[in-house]
Amino acid sequence: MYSKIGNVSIIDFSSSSVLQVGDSNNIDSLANVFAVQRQQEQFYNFEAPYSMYPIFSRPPKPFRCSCPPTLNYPSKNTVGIFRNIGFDAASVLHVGNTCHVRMVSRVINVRQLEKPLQDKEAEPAVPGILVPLQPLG
Amino acid sequence: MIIVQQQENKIDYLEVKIVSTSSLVHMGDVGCIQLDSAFDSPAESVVEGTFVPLIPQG
Repeated sequence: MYSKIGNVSIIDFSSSSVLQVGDSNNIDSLANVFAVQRQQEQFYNFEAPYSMYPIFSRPPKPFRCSCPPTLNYPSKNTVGIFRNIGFDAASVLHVGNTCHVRMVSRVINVRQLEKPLQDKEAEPAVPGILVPLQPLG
Repeated sequence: MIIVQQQENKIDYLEVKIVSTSSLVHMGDVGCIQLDSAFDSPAESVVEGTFVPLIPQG
């Protein structure tokens, strides 16, 4: 029973990604992403706690595996050449046998745009005013 | 227990550009795969105005 990669070329592995060569039992991956894109490069800390957004508290489906336990013997998993540019958060590259895989992803995208110039003149920006972002749900 | 004999999985060349969030590239046998993705980008997530934090700080 063996797993083998001849040649691997990966540019970027993002946070909590895994490259696994060989057998495993369970893979349970979770990524909560709150992405803010602003027209200007301004960043603040702790802007949006996950508790404000129901999408992040939605529980994943429980494990359910109805197939009988199987032993592959002898098993050969071979990849000659693997080329990849990027693995995003909590992704998995797995060469080998496994029993159960659960991949969960929760993503919210927010874009914050600058007001057009004529709007700025008519309604001057007040420092400290809060953007009325409503919790999504 | 089921025993499967002489199992072989082989890829000569695999090229992938990007593997997205919580995605899986798997080579081999697997019993069960569950994928659960939620992607939310509604209209109210596009906000226009002064660049301030999204929620009160402090």
